Amino acid sequence: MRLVLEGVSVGPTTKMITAPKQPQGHANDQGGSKKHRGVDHGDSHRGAFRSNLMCDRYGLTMRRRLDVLLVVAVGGGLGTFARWGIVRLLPHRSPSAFPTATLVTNLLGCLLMGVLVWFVFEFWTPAHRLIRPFLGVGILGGFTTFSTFALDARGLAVAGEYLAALIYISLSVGGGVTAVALGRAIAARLAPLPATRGRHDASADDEAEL
Amino acid sequence: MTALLVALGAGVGAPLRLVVDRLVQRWSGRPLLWGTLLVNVAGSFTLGWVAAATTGAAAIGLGVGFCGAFTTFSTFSFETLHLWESNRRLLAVTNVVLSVALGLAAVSLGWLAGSA
Repeated sequence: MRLVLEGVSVGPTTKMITAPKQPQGHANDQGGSKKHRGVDHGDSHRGAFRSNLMCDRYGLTMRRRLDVLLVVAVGGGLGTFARWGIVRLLPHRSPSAFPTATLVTNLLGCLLMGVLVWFVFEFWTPAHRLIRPFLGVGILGGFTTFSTFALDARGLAVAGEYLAALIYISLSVGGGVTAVALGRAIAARLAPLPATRGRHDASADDEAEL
Repeated sequence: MTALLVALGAGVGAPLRLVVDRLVQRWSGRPLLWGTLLVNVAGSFTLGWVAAATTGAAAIGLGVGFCGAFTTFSTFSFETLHLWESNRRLLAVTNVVLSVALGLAAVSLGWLAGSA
């Protein structure tokens, strides 16, 4: 159990700590955080962030690790229930029928993931440490599913519906990636950053797990 | 009863994904991608087995609940977009091809294992 909990010890705050977008009193520091990564320049504010990171990585208490797992479990339950509801509304009658419910939930989940990406990586920085585990890993992770996608695609192929299988896979994968980009663009339109804040390059954040 | 099993399955599957993802990150030294690929392929194998070997409430609890919460399409799509936008386009395409090919292979193998 200890090893397992070690596995989640990095915690959701790591990325925001590594690349604080707008430290107090450093409003003109945008975009510079990437090159500061891993180096403490003696800036007391940044230093405080860094020691906080060390604390998260090595000394996080059991309770703070468990709360991440708990919000992921609760979010996962809620997201999965929502998908189950949609599947019951749009039942998949036979393996050779087109799996509309899974396609709809996956694309909708990807759209919402795009919205979440905008808020946690751009709009609220730093976001609360439990927001990404709850909404990203829990709710959207539970709402979308890869395993049913694979089972549906296999079902179509085994039933000889090769064209439908190809269309389903293409729509899911192409549509999913497009939906994330679209969701992020919609969120950026609805909740633009204040003019004083430049756009943060989320692609610089390799620890952007969701 | 079925709803309880879905909740129970999801309540185990979702945190297990986080744990596996972090262990893979720690082991591989790379934060992105491989953890999601592993959970999606492992979850696809499990669902193939569940679909072939179980019926009724157990199938829904394990298939919809556990496998559904353990695997993720939204993070897979986000990571692919992220790789593409950060000019690691070959890796983005590799991620898609590997995920789909291994996912299909895993679900078929799971089905075979469950039918045996």
